[in-house]
Amino acid sequence: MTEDNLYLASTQCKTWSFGPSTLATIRQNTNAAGIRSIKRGWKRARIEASSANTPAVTPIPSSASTPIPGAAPTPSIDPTAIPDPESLTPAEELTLVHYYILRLIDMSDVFSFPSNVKSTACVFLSRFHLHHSVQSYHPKHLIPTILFLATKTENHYIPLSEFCKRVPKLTPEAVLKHEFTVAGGVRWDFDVRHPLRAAEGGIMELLTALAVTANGSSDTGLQALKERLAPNPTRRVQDAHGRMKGFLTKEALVSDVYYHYTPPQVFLGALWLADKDVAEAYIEWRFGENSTMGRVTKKRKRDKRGKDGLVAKDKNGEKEEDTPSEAAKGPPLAPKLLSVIQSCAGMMTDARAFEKTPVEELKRIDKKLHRCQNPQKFLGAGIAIGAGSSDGGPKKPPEDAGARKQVEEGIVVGKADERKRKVEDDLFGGSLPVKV
Amino acid sequence: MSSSASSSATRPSNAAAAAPPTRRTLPFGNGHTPVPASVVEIDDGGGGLSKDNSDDSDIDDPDDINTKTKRKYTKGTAPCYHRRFSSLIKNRKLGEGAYAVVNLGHRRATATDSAVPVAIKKIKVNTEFRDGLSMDAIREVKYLRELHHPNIIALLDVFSSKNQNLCLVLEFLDSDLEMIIKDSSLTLSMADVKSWMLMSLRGLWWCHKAFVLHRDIKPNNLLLSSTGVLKLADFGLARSFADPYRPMTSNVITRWYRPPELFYGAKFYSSAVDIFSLGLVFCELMLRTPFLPGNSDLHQFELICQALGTPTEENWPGVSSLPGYYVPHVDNAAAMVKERGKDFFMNTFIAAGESGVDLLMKMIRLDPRKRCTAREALDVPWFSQEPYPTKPANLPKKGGGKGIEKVGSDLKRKAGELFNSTDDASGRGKKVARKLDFGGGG
Ligand SMILES: Nc1ncnc2c1ncn2[C@@H]1O[C@H](COP(=O)(O)OP(=O)(O)OP(=O)(O)O)[C@@H](O)[C@H]1O
Ligand SMILES: [Mg+2]
Repeated sequence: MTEDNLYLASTQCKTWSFGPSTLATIRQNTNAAGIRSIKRGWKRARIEASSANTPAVTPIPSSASTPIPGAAPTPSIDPTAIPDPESLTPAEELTLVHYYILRLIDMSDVFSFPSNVKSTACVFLSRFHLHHSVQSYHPKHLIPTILFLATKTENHYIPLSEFCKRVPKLTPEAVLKHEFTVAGGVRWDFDVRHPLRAAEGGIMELLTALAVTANGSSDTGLQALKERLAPNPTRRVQDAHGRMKGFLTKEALVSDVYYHYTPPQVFLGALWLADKDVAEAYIEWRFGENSTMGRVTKKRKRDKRGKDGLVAKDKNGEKEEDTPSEAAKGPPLAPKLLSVIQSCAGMMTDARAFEKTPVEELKRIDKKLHRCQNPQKFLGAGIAIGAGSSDGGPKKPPEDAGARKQVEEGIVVGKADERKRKVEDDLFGGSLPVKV
Repeated sequence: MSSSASSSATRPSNAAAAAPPTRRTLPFGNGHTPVPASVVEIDDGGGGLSKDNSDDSDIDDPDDINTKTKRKYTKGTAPCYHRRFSSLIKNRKLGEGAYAVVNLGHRRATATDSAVPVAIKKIKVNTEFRDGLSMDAIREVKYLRELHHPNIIALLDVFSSKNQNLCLVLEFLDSDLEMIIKDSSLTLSMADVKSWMLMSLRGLWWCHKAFVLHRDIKPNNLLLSSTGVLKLADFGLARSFADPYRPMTSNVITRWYRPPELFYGAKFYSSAVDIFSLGLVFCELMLRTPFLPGNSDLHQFELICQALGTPTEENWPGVSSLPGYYVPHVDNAAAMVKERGKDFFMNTFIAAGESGVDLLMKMIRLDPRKRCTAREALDVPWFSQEPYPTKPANLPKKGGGKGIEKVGSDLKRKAGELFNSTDDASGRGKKVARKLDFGGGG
């Protein structure tokens, strides 16, 4: 069994890899499930509201008298006259998820967590919302829990009390409250395969090979690579390396590339974005017409570098295996690989748009979501239905409503973006200065 | 503050304030699913689930998935298994470890499948660790979700119980190697030992291939199925070693099976730690008693030095720069033991034969770099020589329940006699190069 097969046996490949159309269908279904739960919540709230409104002499102290700022129920509301709220579209859900992935990145950077913790946290959030609508679980309540869980699954545990100290108003209870929800929501698949390991291996290989050519080499493939990256190939690779890491720890996490491509493919996609020439020269050298080195020593390299087998997935989500050994027999892998890499890179470039989502747009979506999740505010019922409350699916019992206060503002602002974020923070529950 | 979903949280929070002060105050997850008692009691027949609205049940909801998973299983044994588990009907406990209690349960029969016995490993709530899911539980789930191999225990499901205990549903396994070793009514032949070693090494090979260190190899973590198949279990200490630059804790592995580099506080160790532990299990299978049963860490280390030799720069280059390097009786040159040679091991483990002793020595070398890998161990001639490894179904079973009667001169040998055997087990048998199937498809 080869390393490729090892990847094929991973949960990432078996349960978290899809073709683009499958992914869209899943999101559609999840969105529909979210809408159903909102509808149920409103239905129930209507019943509550009408029964609460009938004997409206003395409000029931426990819940009906709840003072709700800005939306205090007036006895004159007729719950049946208010239409169901407009629900979120799959695209709007995705916009929110991406926004919160960016927030998760900021939050992780506050702690200076290593990139595997950061990346795993982002993948957890994305996977969670693949199957759970933001209409049922608002991501803002989940991100502290997700980040804390990721520190544990990546073997980078820090005591929860310390973790909470760094995030204003965050309490241990608020973090733990959602831990099972999140762990179950990602199907207990804690092992996430990141492209960073393949990337470090690949760059190391390139730099080593360049050091060899510096002393003269007969490898024509290498020679070609060196010429393409002239005058200072080593420098060029090093520069690309730095930029590539940036793509791997941001664009790769915000986009859907983890669902569609294998870790080595994502690595090459990021390298291509960082420096087209470096990536293409590398691919040509390892998998091209003259890849003498790739062919002769491929066995050894595959063992050493592990996951450099390339598993391409076609549009239907079918997997097609292209191992270098096959490439050695048949036509070179490079052209096909390059097109896979380019589409992967394209997906990451597109992800940049999410960072530029206008604040107004986020505000608009959140407002819609707010209405969906808080029928009681708009109907005058005393029951929080709330998905709004963090976690809450509309089935949430009322006693949970207060507890959510603790978590709702657990959002950290990256220092650099602090000013920019401040504006946005207002729409998600107030801004939080970072304690350092 | 502009309006947001959060403003509803300003509702009076009496209910939350009154919540019990346990670390997780709500039923599984966020508590928005009022869990009916019949579901909480996984003992229950599962009927009586009353929901006000049937379309409340939403696959979108992790809590519902948990409920569904939980309802697939129940404690105790299914009626059809009452005979087999007669001793367990009252007390369902299968075992208890440092961090978990393991109970017998079964998967309920469905329209298509009959009931299947399972082991439900309930992670203890540790009052020391108040930070949610414990690291042991996380590690065990993380690695068992990924590792699928006939010689590695299968994790069937994960759910949380009513008290927010994490429960792992594992395939049910009858016994463990420790029980077999201690059962003096059993006779273990070298073919049996070979079979258990072969299966352990296959499981370990798969772990190491996936860059996972087990870090707690010992007889009671090597479980045996009713068909005699050995499976690595208890991944509570496992970790990935794919990143060679991350230091690791040296405080792992039960003392009697701990390799010397960990006593020296090595922070960068390798799969060789598991190989060493398994090497000591190999010894124990032959001796029927632990080979190096130290009663303290210091004593343990002295036993290692006596039995295997004193680590020096000569037999283990670089050892003196390990953080905790020391040599017992350093002042007494006579007490220094040279790394033991083949004669020594042939004396003690003659029954294994020459090629068996060769394998053993490769597994318990002092210098971890000189130890063999699981893969190399699987390739040694010993496994393809007579006596051939016993077929799992024919291996001795707990309580004397021997699979099928075996034939052969080693059948009558009693426990403890084994390593004195003069039997023809010394590797002179025909060298039949048999292709070994390591499982896992490769
Ligand atoms: N799948 C199973 N089937 C039957 N019995 C089992 C199973 N898993 C565990 N046991 C029994 O329960 C005991 C404890 O299980 P396990 O070793 O997994 O728990 P632990 O708390 O990790 O123990 P340790 O103290 O070794 O760390 C085992 O020694 C075994 O006897
Ligand atoms: Mg154990």
